[in-house]
Amino acid sequence: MTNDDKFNRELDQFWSSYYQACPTPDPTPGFMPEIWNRIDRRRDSAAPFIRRLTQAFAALAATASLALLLLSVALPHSSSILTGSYVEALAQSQTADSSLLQDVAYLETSPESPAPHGEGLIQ
Amino acid sequence: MLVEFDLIKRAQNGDDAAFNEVVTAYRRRILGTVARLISRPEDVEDVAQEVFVRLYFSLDQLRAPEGFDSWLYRLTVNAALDYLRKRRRRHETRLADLSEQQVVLADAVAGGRAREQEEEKARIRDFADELLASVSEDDRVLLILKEVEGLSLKELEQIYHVNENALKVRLFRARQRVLKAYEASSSTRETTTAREATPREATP
Repeated sequence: MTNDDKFNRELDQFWSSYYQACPTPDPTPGFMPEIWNRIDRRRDSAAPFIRRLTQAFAALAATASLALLLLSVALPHSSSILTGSYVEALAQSQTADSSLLQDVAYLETSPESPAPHGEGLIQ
Repeated sequence: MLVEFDLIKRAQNGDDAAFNEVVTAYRRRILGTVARLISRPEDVEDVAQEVFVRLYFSLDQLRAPEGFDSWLYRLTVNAALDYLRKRRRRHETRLADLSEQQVVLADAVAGGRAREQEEEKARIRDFADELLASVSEDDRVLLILKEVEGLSLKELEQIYHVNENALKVRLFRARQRVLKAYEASSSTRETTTAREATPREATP
């Protein structure tokens, strides 16, 4: 048997004697009450932190709202979109497509006429 | 598992009585594991209580009750590691520890033979501490879980969330370091014994 094997075996034996040397202690009568005391203490210490965090968020939200309000008052109303109605804005944006749509509509209502933009449109 | 799934689910839903039952079922196992991980009888209960407090606050994160055992082991490992790191930071000298332990033992054990046995156990624990000082706290805990607690690689995989090969490598390296420390201390002991056995030369 080599020296390494010998030491390996001895170390394995040592672990088992270490296991015996660390017996499982019995819990004291105060074991459970102390757990609940610690839980309560940790809950109490967490509560003020959460409250402070909530207050900080509320203050931040209020400041942001005020800043946006001031910004909207300070900036001039220059955009035409704000003055026009939704229908007017829609009509304005569709001028480019309107000629094509008119062609399609025409083809759908008169099937005997030849297709101006290719055959696939009316089939 | 030492308890029913239903009990864990009730504890998860904030049932304090169910949590008490879980603690009662597991406290001896946790006390034993902590005792072997930290090898300081006077601090075992404190660390075990910390494990259960952590369990209380993290129970809602446990997805499947089947994984409760490895979850609890993980919490135990983390609490023991925190304790060991704190202990190292405090720079407790071994001499001070020994005298403190001896005082505790002297108070606790009255009979001579029982006292001798306790002192022998304390010596074994001290020697284990000496050997395990050659590895990091993480490796110390891993090594004890494997060699002393007898956990399988599969169980360790569930606790550490690391694949088996990585664990094997870590365990091998840690064991080699401890083995080297063991060899060194053995040869020191042999030399000391041999020196003590050699008769002193007579002074003129």
